[in-house]
Order: sequence, then C-alpha cells, then structure tokens
Amino acid sequence: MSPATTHLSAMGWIRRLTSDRLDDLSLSDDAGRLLPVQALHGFGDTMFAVSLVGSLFFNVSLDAARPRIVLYLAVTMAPFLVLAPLIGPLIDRVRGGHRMVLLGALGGRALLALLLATQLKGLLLYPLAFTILVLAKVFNVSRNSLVPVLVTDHSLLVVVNSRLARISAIAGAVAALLAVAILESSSAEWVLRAGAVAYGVGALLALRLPPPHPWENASPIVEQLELSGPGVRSATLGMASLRAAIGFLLFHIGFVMKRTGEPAWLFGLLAISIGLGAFAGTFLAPRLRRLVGEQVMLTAALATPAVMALVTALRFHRVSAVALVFVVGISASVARRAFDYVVQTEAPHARRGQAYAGLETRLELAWAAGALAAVVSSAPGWLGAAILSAGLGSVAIERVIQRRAAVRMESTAAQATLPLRLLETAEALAARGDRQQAVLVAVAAVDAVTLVGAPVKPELADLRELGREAATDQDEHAAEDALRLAHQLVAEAYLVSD
Amino acid sequence: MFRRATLRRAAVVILLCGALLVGCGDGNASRDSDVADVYIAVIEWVLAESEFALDPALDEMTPGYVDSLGPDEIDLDVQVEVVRHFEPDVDIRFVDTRTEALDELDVGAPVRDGGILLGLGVVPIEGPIDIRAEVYRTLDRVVGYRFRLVRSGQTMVLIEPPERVEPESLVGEL
Repeated sequence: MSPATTHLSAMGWIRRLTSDRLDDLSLSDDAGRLLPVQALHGFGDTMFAVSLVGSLFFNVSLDAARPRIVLYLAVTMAPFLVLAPLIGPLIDRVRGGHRMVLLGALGGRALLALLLATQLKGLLLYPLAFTILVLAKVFNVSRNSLVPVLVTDHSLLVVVNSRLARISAIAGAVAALLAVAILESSSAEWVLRAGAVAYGVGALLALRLPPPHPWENASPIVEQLELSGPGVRSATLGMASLRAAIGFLLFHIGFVMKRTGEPAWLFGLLAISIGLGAFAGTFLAPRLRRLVGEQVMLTAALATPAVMALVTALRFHRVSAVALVFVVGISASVARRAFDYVVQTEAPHARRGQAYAGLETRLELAWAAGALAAVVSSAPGWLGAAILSAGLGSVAIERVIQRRAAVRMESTAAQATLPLRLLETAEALAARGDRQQAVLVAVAAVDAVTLVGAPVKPELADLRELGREAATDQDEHAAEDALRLAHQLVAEAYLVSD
Repeated sequence: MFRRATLRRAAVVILLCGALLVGCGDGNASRDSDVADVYIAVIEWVLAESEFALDPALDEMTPGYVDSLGPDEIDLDVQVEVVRHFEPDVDIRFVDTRTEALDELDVGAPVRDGGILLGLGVVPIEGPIDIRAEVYRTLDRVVGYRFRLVRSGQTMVLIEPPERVEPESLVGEL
C-alpha cells in the first residue's frame, strides 16, 4: 500500500469515527474548521495531564500542599466572574475577536506549558498548572460560544458539537500513547514541550477561522428569554451538576490515589477511561435520543453515575474507581449532547456568543466548585464516592419529581413562544425602518403574552396609546418608546411565569 | 464596547488575585532553608553511608519516602527544596500517612519498590542542631539515629557519625 493510500484510508477511518450516523452532514460548514483546532487542543490537554505524573505533585505531601492548591484553585477561578461579559462582546462585536480569544487561550497555554517544563519540580508548578487549567476553561467557553455563531444552520449545533467531542477524544487517545512513549524514553518535561507545540499549532490554526455569521436579525431579548426558559434552565442545572461532579471526581480520586500510594500508571488509566467514556457517549447519545427525550437523557446521565458512585462507595478500589470515571465520562458526554439538543430546540434564536458565554461560564464555575469541594473536604475514597452519589442522585430525583411539571410546561411551550416570535418580528421590522408595522406587531406580542396567562398590566393601556401615536402621528419617538415598553412587558411576563 | 461596571469588576478581581498571590508568599524563607539543609544532610548520609545506602549500580531511581516524626507536617517549601536537591538521582517523596509508602499486603510490609521510609525529627529553632531520624525497610528492619550537625558555609555537616538509638515511631503497627 502506498503512503498516499495509507493516508487516505486513515483519513477515511477518522472521518467514519467523527461522522454522525444519524445526521451525516458534510463538514464544509464553517464550524468544521474548528475541528483541527479542537483536535490539537485535546492533544495538548492529554500531554499536559500525562506530564503531571512527573511533577512535584507526587513528591510532596498533600496535607502540606493543600492550602496552596485551594488558594490557587480559588484565585485562578476568580477571573471566571468576569469572563462571560468579556468573551461575549469580543466574539460578537470585535472584528476577528473570536480568533483573538482562541489565539490567546491556546497561545497562552503553549507559552505556559514551555515555562512549566522548567518548573515541574518547583513551587511554580501550582500557579502555572492552574493558569493552564483556567485557559483550558477559557478555550471551552469560547469554543462553545463560537460554535453557534459559526454554524450556517442552527440545527447543526448538536452534530458539530458531537464531532468536536469525538475528534478531541481521538486526538487525546493518540496523544496518550505518544506521551507514554516520550515519558519512557525521555522525561515529563519533553511530554510538556510536545503539548506546547500542539497548543501553538492550534493557536495558528485558530487564526484561519472564518468570521462569525451575522446575527442582526436575532433579538438579544428574545435570545435571553429563550435561554432563561424553564427547559434550558433545568438542563443547565443538570449539566452544571455533572460538571461539578467531574471537577470533584478528578481531584478526589487524584488525592486518594496519591494518599494510598497508587502507581503513576493508574492516573494514566483514569485519564484514558474518562476520554473513552466521553467518546462512547457521543455514539450513545443519538441512539438514546431516539428512545427518550432530551430531559430524560439528562436525568439518566445524572442517575447512572450516582448509582455507580454508590457501588464504588460500598467497595472502593482501583477497578471500581476506574469504572466510575468511565461511567462519569459517558454520562457527561451524553448530558452534553442532551444539553445541546435542548438549547437547539428551545432557544432557536440564540446565536450570539454573548448569550452562550454566560451559560458556558456557569458550567465551568460548577467544575471549579466541585474541584474546590474535593480539595477542601479531603474525604476518604469511599466517602467521596458517597458524597458524589448523594449529590448526583438528589439532582436526578429532583428532576424526576419535577417531570410532571415539566411535561405541563412542554404542552404550553408552543403557546409560550408565540409572543417571542412576534417580538422578534417587530424588531426585524424596526431594523428595516418600518416602525409603524413594528409597533403593531409589538402590541400583538404583548396581547399574546396576556393570552398565555400573564396578568394584564396597566402599562398595556400606555402601550396602546403610544402605538396609536406612532401610527397616526408618524411619531418616531413614540414608536421607539412603544417598542421598548413592549419588550419590557414581555420580559416581565416571562420572568413572572418562571 | 464593555460596560464600565464590567471593567470595574474585572479590575477588582485582578487586584484581589494579585494581592492574594503576593500574600501567599513565604515569610520564613531563611528558617525553611536551614531546615531543608539539615534534612538534606541527614538523607545524604542515610543514602550514602548507612546500612540502607542505595546501590549506585542500580539504574532505576529508588524512592525515598519521607515522613515527619514530629506532630506537625514538614513545611511545603522545605519539602520542595529537599526534592529538588536530590532530583534526578533519588526520587524523594514526602507522605501524609506511612501506609502511602508501604506495601502492606506483602510479607513484612516492605517499603514500595524496594525503597526506604525515613522519619525525620523536628529541627530545633535555636541552640545546637540535634535531630532524630528513623529508617524503615521492613517491619523487622527499623533503625533509629541521632544526628548532630553544624552549619559550614552553604551546607550543614555532621559533627560526628550519628549515634544509634532505639526506634520509637516507625516500629510496630504503623
């Protein structure tokens, strides 16, 4: 077989693995250009994780290191409080801002990884490693905020996210093999340097990303209302719980293994398990979706690791820990797909990075909170697993209890979206300069809200008066005031109903 | 583009982070360095001249597990200095619990990977440097020493060969 044929067959194999059999779409989509960037990020991440085997973490006692770990975890996660309002506008409003964010996250990681390679056995390990971790979160928030603005069709959101997850898992698996080979033949420092190269190339590829698709027709208010709807909120809570579980599990198992003197290869096995789980989850999710709804998928993704964590708590050892990590990997992956389905279905107008950045930042903060809880509690292995089981189990049970209410909400969902659609139409008309029609449609949106069950407010009369002035007197100020008031009334009605 | 409140919030967070990072700096570096030098001298003697001396012909790094004999754990900065001193010839690992270092399922509960477990006593703040240490290989092979050291330039040196004493901490049920 010639090298060219081998290359082609390898590409075909990767393509088969990364394609979604249910929605087999071509990745000529602009978002497809994120694939190599994501692959290099996943590659670098695994290299970074494996290199830590040769770090100071395994040489110093955890009790002595814990205050520093807590401090750096808290300090490095603090910037997330400002991430959402900064990343969103950068992606949406600054020309090439999305490239700047990804370039910063990947380029920054490349430089820090090179620096860390000289400090693996020094106290600078902690600030450097945690800053690399923060930049990984910045990358995740940015990428997840970027996908919706890069896809040409909003219905591709799930497919593209699914492929990004798969390519990341494949790249991670390849990197794991390479990292072990480098570790055996050379040192952890060189593993880190190889990771830095991957980050660097990823940063350069991020510069080739196409500009986001225009979103002028999307109304920020409609987006925000859709994204804060009960379905999306419930899914966000479920997803955040799983992200917190991953953060908790990562640090809990890491600490327990160190404390019980487990060999370094076990950490590698755990990293591979979570990656394999995430990969398997991308195949399982579309099949599950054919059987049950997205919200049920999310509940199952919370309940399954809760049960596995309970089994692990009853008999905590290497095998059960690896199995738990694998199950959490699958569940998180399935939950992510379900979450994407929910957002795609219930927030079809949400396109701007700004709208997603807030959502994604909350998920990353949940991860950090979980990690912090594990470090601070320093619970024995079985107890940590029990805490995890109780936490995930209670969220799953709460979702089951609220299922009836959710079903009721689903039945009124079609009615509930009518005012939003009307409001969006009004905004589009106003943007085109047709203010009279815009005001009439906006008044209709407020009427629709009262039809769905919102209380009739006295301001409704003011709105009608403003609408009349705008229509009869061609008063632009009255038209603007009317549109603003209509937005306010619709928004208030939705917030009250929540 | 960014709201003023957002920028103000960002500035506060950055300032807080900076203040915290500056605040977490070690204010007792000189004392830590002295303690580290004492421990380095003791470990060097154990690894080179005691009956537990490492075989230099061995290719693999033999782990040297270290625990505190005192009530408090050894300071992180001291641990880092000791680890860095022996890197890359000896793999020094400080432990939280002694079971971390032992293969308890094996007969005699030997130290993992053919290594040794060192218990290091508290270094006195003032007066002559007199420190106790214990070395554990298996349940029935534990030795205690008393070291007397003095500073000589940049390093600590042993005044005389260590005196053998009865081990107290690393014996019996660990």
